Amino acid sequence: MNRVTTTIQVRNETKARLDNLKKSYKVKTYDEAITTLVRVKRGSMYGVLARKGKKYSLKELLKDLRDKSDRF
Amino acid sequence: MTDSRLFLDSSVWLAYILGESMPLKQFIESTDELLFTSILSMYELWRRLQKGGWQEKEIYRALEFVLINSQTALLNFEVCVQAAKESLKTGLATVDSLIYASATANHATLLTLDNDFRGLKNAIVLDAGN
Repeated sequence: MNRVTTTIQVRNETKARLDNLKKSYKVKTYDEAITTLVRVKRGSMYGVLARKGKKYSLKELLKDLRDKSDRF
Repeated sequence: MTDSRLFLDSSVWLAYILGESMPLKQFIESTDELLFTSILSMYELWRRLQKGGWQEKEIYRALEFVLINSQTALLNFEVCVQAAKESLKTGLATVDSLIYASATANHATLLTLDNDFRGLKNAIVLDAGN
């Protein structure tokens, strides 16, 4: 079957995200990536790196996360 | 929260990934609001997590989730100039001011756990337990 296609314009940043999605979904075309994207509900990664039994304080969370010093 | 564009700071993503704030989980996973993350957060989160002993594979997986679920805000000349002005005006450190200017450039409200942003316009500072 001859599929009708069209052209859309996206920002370079969006194209880069679609490229990432293609790899992530292991699909070959942008069409497949977009189709998969609209079908897949936003999943969860909450606590994916949590360590069993370990609770963090705000201070611990922020420790070393950001360098608060200036170079000059 | 009623803002339609939210800029999530590295601290917010870290609390989410480590499972330290159930309200953040509910918010991030259910909101229809447009989420933004600075490219600088990728550096900070990777560095912090690797330093904390997490494996590269699991860090990559977590950051991939961040990339897929939010718009990545890149740096440009305008953001850097605005950040420099904000830093001089408010005393914010380099990365803080770049994050804040990035949020402003994207017309988004900054959501953070970092007290250094407290009192700034369009910045919501959460407690870890919130």
